[in-house]
Amino acid sequence: MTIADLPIPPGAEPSAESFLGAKTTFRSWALTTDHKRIGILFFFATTLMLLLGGVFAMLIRIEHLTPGPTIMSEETYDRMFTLHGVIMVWLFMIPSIPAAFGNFIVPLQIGATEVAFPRLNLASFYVYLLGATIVIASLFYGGIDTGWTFYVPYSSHTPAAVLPTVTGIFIVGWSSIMTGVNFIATVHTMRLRGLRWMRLPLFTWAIYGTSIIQILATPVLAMALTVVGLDHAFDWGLFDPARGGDPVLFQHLFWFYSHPAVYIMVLPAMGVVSDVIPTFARKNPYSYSAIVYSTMGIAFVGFLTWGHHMFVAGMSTFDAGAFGVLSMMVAIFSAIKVFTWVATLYKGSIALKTPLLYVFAFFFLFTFGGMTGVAVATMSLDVHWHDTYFVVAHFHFIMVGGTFTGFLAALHYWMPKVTGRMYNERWSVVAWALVTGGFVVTFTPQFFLGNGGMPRRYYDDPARFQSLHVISTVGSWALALGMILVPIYMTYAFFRGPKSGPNPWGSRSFEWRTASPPPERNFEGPVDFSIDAYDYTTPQTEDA
Amino acid sequence: MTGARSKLLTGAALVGLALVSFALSYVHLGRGSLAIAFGIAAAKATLVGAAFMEIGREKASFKLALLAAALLVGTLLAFVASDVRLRGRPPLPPPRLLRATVTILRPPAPEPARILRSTNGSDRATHLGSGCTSSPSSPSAFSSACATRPTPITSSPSRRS
Amino acid sequence: MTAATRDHFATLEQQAQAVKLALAAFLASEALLFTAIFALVAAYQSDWPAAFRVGIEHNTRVLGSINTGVLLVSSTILAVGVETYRDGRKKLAAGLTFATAALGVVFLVIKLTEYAEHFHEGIYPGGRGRFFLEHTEHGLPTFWTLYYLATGLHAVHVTIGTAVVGWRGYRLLRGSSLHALEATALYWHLVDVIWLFLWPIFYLA
Repeated sequence: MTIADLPIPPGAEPSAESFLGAKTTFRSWALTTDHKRIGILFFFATTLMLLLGGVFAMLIRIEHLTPGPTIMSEETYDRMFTLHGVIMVWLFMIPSIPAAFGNFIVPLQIGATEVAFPRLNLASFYVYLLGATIVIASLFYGGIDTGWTFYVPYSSHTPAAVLPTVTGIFIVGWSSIMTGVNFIATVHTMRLRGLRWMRLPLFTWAIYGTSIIQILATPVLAMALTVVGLDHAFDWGLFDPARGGDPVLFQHLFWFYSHPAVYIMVLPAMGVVSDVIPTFARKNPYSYSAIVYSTMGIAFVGFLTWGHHMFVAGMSTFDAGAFGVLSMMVAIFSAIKVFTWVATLYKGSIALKTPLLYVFAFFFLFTFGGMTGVAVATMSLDVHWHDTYFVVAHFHFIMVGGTFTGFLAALHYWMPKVTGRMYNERWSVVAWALVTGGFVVTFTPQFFLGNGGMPRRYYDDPARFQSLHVISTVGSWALALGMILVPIYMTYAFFRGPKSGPNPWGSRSFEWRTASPPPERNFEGPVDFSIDAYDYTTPQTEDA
Repeated sequence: MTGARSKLLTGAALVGLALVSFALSYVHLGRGSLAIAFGIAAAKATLVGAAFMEIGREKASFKLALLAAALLVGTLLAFVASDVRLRGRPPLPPPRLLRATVTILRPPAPEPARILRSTNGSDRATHLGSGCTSSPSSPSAFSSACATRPTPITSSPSRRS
Repeated sequence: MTAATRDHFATLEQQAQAVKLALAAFLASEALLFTAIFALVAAYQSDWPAAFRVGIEHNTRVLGSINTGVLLVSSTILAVGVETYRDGRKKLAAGLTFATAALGVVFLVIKLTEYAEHFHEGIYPGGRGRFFLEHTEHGLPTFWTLYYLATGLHAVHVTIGTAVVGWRGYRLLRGSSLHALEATALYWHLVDVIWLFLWPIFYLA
């Protein structure tokens, strides 16, 4: 007898009209105010952006296969890595887990029927779409070659299509703020009666912390990019030293957002990990409050560390020292989480399924990425590693090894919730192995490249780096293959996969206490959250 | 109507403070004038926040949101100011105990570090009036339009033992 | 928003709390938006105090100060409007709200007049214009460009605020709720507060 055969708790019978089947017209999707449908819309839009950004990445790696030009010119190469960064950061990493999974899951996890502002939610999707379209449109004008960081004075003067790109990012930023505002209001005001803050599922806490960062950090980026846009379009010269400007100020404004932005990217992934582990260990978190407080700790202390991106930019040594110290502090919270997660797994009843496999990948890759982060936050080391492949490897370990594995864990964990179908475990494990192994082969050599002095954003490289580059590129092919497999077996599962039942994982978390896929109004009948989301000891009436 | 009356009184106070600020702007107080003007602005903002926005009467979550913003406002302004104002100051020397290790481990310097100073000899960020930054190693090198040629000096040996 | 709740809210109070909190979050984001400009101002004022003094001398101080009065009076009127709504006098509240929007328009007219004055003197963003041929202090273009950026962004917010306040006045006649009016007022007061800090930087000190 598998979990799928267990009797279904009352109220969790799949209704004849789940949110998927209820209305199927184009209009009912295009004008939906159902948070679940909006989540799915975001999922497809952001995943499309992921694939586009991935194509640029593959081309970059192919270019490094041979010395000199391989498949593109220098100018094209500059545009490739810039667009790879812009698309991945703003069009995939920042919105994906919050707007796709957050939108779908958070109201279910708090026992609500909707988010606080459903129409604002729909608007946030169209604003995202508009911004993304404008960024993509800039491709047709040749894209930009400034690096995703838009450093001045180059970005003020380059003849590339700076204006549409920054406009697009500006607009996507507002979508991000709208999402954040909606989630804050939702978690504060739409919780089920009796659902205290310290009983919320940890994924909801993670989205809440992320929303705080989105609201407070994004406007500063908006301003930084606005000034670059004005400098570029109208030659306002606000960062032009000849007119009294200071380029380092741009970096202050840019990184004031972009460092917290990496926590926008990683906190939701950590939230996924915090929810997957108890489910697949059938055990409550070792310390629920440690995860909660470290989440909020990251959200706030993450704002105090931006100068570690500017150690060699020319800012004062006072600032450099201060930011170095503060950067050490923020790492503490991530460490607390990792230890808590490992302790949660200890003596748990482990079900080695794909979501947990991605969590294991997360453990190793995120921890390694995080430790190398502490290393580059040490100024005396960073002066050597800054702008080399070492930094590139570090942030890919965090972003891909952390956020992307969290994204894939979320996808495999909640796919049955969303669709009511189960994917094929064998294929998902194969994809996992390719993604994880491919990733390691792609990016580990880059630490050595960087430590050996290979600068980042360089089109060509000395012969002594060639073999490492080749290894890295081959690794990227395995990574890409794994990534391509995922939509294939997922699509197959959606149409032909076995029905999953309401709770294939036997999770106690609140979103599983309704049918899969959920009905339009999320819960049919009375909602019972009296047993905790992580309580695997109290027997439920139907769960052995 | 007392609620409306107190709002009107607050409005009168605000306009009064604005008039004071306006009048003071014609008095040359040197460096203090900006501080005073900001002080009055802060007082007016407090009045608007307390009496008009009635922040005190809102829920805790509302106040926390504004508090979080205020803290970040302070953080950004403080670190930008401490950057701009403290550039050109060399870092602290290593502590006495470590000085020996620094001498042993440091590779021989081929050329003493050159610190650009403004012509008035001040150590402060030289772009005050001269358009040059004092950081010699900025990789985001921009064409510095120095109005006057600063006098390069070599670092004094006593500072970098 | 009418006085009736939207159907996903259980009570009007829940809706009011959600709206207020969302607005607080939004105000927080607006504060950070302007802080980025204030950071540039703080840095450049520290770098070029002489240029800032020259710039302030040539700025339209009287018009700018009148605008400060306009905003302060408009905030007062809107605050009184909220009180009259609380007293049940909704028609009067709507009228006061419309008056606030009208003062917003006055602010914009004065602002545009100021810009026209600057253009007349040959002060354009980016250090262009004959003013900069006559006044060559280092950092003066930065002062004026920052001025245009800061006051321009603020004027955009006044425009949006005027529209929102005017719309709220109209909705009040149709019976919208107290918390909707309070939320609108909160936004307008923030726009006022931001100006209270822009004014000394660019006109007074």
